[in-house]
Amino acid sequence: MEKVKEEIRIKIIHPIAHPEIYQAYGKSMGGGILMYGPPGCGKTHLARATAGEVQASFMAVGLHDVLDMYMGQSEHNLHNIFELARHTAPCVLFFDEVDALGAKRSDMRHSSMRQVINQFLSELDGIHGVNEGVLVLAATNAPWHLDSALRRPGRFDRVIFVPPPDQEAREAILRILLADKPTRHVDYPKLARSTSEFSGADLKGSVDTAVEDKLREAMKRGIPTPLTTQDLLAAIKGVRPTTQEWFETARNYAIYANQSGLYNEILDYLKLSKGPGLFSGSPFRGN
Amino acid sequence: MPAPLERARLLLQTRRYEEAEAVLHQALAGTPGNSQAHALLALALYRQDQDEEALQQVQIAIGLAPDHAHHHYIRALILLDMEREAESMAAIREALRLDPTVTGYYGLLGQLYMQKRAWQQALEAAETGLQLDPEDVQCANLRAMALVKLGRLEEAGQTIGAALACDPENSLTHANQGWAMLHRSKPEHALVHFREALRLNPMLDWARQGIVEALKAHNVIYRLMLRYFLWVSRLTTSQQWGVIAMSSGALTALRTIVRQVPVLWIIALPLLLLYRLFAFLTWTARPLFALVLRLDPFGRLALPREEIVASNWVGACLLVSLVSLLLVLPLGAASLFADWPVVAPAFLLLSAAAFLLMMPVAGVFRRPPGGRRVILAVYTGLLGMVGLVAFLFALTGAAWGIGVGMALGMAFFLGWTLYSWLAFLLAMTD
Ligand SMILES: Nc1ncnc2c1ncn2[C@@H]1O[C@H](COP(=O)(O)OP(=O)(O)OP(=O)(O)O)[C@@H](O)[C@H]1O
Ligand SMILES: [Mg+2]
Repeated sequence: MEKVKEEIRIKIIHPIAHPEIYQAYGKSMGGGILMYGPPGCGKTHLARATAGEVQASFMAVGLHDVLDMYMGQSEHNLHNIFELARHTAPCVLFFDEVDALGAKRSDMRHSSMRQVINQFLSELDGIHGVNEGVLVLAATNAPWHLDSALRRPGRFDRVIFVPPPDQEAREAILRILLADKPTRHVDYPKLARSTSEFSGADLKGSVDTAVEDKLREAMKRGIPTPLTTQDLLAAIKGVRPTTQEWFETARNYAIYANQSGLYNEILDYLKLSKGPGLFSGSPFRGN
Repeated sequence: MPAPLERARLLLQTRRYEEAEAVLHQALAGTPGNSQAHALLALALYRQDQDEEALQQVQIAIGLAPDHAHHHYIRALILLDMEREAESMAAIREALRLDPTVTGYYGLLGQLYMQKRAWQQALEAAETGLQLDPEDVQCANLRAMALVKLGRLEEAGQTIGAALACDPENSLTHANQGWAMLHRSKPEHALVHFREALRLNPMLDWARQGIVEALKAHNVIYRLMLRYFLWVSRLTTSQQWGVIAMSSGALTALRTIVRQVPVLWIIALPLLLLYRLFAFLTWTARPLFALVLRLDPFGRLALPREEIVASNWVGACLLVSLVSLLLVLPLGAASLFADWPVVAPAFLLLSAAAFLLMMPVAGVFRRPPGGRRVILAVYTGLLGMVGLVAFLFALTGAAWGIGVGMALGMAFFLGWTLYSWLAFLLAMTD
């Protein structure tokens, strides 16, 4: 997580805070960061945090905005969003669940969808205007469904993996989640150890369950008692981490479709070797 | 199309099945009785593997609009996923009766025929579909696989070649080309196509199975076994029965001849041994060569978890068998020349039992998970226990102990012979 934050700092927060330094090196503000990773591990959360920290306007485009584009005056909509961002520059534009907007064009059967995707690509390039000062942030948990054209230089040239929280991060998240709840002697390190592979959302779900169980008990007994480590462990036991399924898919992409090195971070995370012969290029195309 | 349904359709297209489900529930709460909404909801549920609920929804859709062909098609898809092939066939026929101009319906029809091992009908369905749309990828692939199964391998290659020329980025076509190459006994070529298929779509199981077979086929023995497996896979059900009848007939004939002319044992014995080995390998080749594949860094990654587990068990049996076989000679010598207890027979027994046990163990993993697999697993476990107890008795080194061990060993062998019948019976009553 720290690595992701650092990347966002360098690429988005610092250029806006100190534009003169970047200009001195002849580096213009722009381009984009694509975050990907298992669901519920804080991509959207991170983008929102960035919005609070950055000295610029922040615009978020979500799934339902994208569906509206597909259904209605699609092209104008997307164009308007970019125009607005250019006018209010410096501006951070955040596209959540970007795979809905930037899906592989070959997957899209409807020409209206394909048009919107093409529009997205050309807006990112700034063909319809200069994108100076417009920083684009995007998140997805299905990077494999994205059109590879999105990763060309000048578009999303930074692709970063947002992993599930490690033990330390899980402990911190649990502390935040339980901060305003009545607890007694909660053994946070122990909880963090028994929640490996849990996403932030899974942790939140576990805490919610524990609280609900406690409430039910309090109703029955008439005396409210604080949450204990045992209560939380019981709730944790009933949760199958949602990241597992994601990693099963990701593993396959990392093994078989990593020709461009896109999934190296996943290979590292899963401790799979990048042995020879794994990623020999396609014999059918020159890559 | 009303806006909520359009929205749901887009959500389905962008693979957001849960959200689509929510939108459709909302739409149906507002305006109940919309057959399109029920059909889309069925699709959303089907994509989330909730087949029971999906089937309910599509039944409602059909009840509301019985002459809408597409509803019947969705019903056929769901039923196929539930392995209710006969009903699925009826549903797709109904869809085709209502609208015989949709290529995709012929694709599904052909797929169902393939599952019934009715290669000729599958071919016809594919060709009808291709008449409607010569560039339809599903029907072209279907045609190719039907041709492979009919043994018309050259034509199959041409069909796939044409399909690849149309759409070189289609993972299914590459996977099928891989399988066609395996059928033509060209594992190296197959590997290239499987790799490409998986590069394009790493989630394609058909290609992942193929790449494992192609990698195992680096080994000459496995290549021969694979040839046999694929040959059997091309036979129709009645042809498969024919092969079973003929081979058991040939065995009986051989035994009768040898009984009349005992000299012929010299030829018959190696033949019979070879046959036994072959029969043994038809059970154990997959996990045994999975074991070999695990030495290869790429092969290790490509193997599905299930095969890794199977190869662990079979490998354990093999290890026990080899180690105890190696112990037999020194232990035998020790009891002959020194004052050691007589334990060599026990280890010989253990070695044989562990070796034979590979077959039932491999057989357990040949079955898909479920009740029948549990039956086989329990039986195999009991068999293993009998073998172990026999070994322990023989390990006492006393004459009576070795006697009991031998008797139990015979029981093990009997149970082992019965195993293949049990497995056969379970397969027949599927
Ligand atoms: N590292 C984290 N620190 C604090 N909270 C977190 C963290 N990761 C996840 N959460 C919490 O988990 C929940 C889900 O996180 P979020 O919505 O950001 O996930 P996401 O990665 O965007 O998932 P999706 O891919 O499904 O959109 C939020 O309530 C968020 O506050
Ligand atoms: Mg999110």
